[in-house]
Amino acid sequence: MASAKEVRRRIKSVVSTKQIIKAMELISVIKMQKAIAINAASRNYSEAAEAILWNLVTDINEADHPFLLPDNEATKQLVVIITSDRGLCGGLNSKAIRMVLDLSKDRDTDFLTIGRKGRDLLRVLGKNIIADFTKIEEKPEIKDILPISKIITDDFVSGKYKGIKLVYTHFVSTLAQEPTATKLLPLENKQKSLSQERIVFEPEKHALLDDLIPRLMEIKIWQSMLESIASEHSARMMAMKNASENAVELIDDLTLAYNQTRQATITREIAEISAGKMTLEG
Amino acid sequence: MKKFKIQVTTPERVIFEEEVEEVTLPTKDGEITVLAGHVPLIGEIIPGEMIVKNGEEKRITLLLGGFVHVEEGGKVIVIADSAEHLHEISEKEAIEARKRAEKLMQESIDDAEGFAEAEAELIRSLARLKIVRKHRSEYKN
Repeated sequence: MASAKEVRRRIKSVVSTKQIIKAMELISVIKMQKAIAINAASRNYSEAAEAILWNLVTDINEADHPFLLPDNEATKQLVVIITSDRGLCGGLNSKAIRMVLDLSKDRDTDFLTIGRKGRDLLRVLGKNIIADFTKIEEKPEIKDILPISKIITDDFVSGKYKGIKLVYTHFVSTLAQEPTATKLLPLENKQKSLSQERIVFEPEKHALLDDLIPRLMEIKIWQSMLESIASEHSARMMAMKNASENAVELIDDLTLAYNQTRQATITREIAEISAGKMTLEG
Repeated sequence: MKKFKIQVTTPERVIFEEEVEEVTLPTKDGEITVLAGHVPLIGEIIPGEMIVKNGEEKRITLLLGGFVHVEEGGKVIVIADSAEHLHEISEKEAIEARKRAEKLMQESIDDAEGFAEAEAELIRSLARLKIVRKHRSEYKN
């Protein structure tokens, strides 16, 4: 059995670790609340943008714009992955990365990483990363996404990739975050029945799509980043909460062990004293 | 007159959501006016004023670029890069913003990307100023 002194030292160390964990948990709570509020406010906008996209693809076909036309010569795909810059957030990043690895299995794939964790891991695995963006801010703005969407749209139109996918972590609730994969390009034509009224485009179709599609890509990536950020802080808060509970349990166990050791020492000392006394009296 | 639903949303908030009789929007090809039962339309919005009418009542909102979507049922959705109600815009701030944008354009004359951004900012501040000046009398009330 460890000596009482040693147990006491361990208790002290666990208590101070617990204080740090608690502080991290409180910070995560605040950051999470902010991220959730931003995410909730932007969802309406992103959903409206998504609705435009859905309606759009019912009324255009491959000849209308290169964004709809997959280059059949190209075999490569590009996967965009959003992870967090920092760790200590449970299995959040590893789940997203596992999904990315599944998507790229047996396929010639390039990667574009947003967030440090994804970049570091894919680099260790020897994957080909064409661009990486780190230092994600708490509240990214759409204009921060411009360089990312430019790479994506340019490379697609130039025929470098057959398709482009996006993997991020969807924020369901504080307790649940889902790694999610969506297709960015090419846009798929989901032609409905022909009886549908034709959509009027202003300016004319090609010019409008030139501006509209990159914008919708930006909004989609931007919203995915907000989802991932809200997920990150929620996951970290839960991880810290669990760690904090574990620390309390550990302290209880150690305190019990300490008391037992102390009691054993006292009992032994009393036994020795009384034994000594008996010898003297004997 | 028959009414239809319109929603104006920006990345930060839903700025406008109401049943209206008529709305006029600034698009790339000129102004369009939408009434109830309009055909489906997708259009690009340039910085300018959105005028919403309900009977005699007329309200103005500044849109700083974006897209408009008239859905099949006649609901109108505007996704604006940014939007401000007339009463939220101050002339003083608009003038200062224009000065800043002009200065920025001068400074970034060799840098294509920075120049484009400064130019967009200038167009936005000019749109802001134009609206404030045009409706100054209403604005003071």
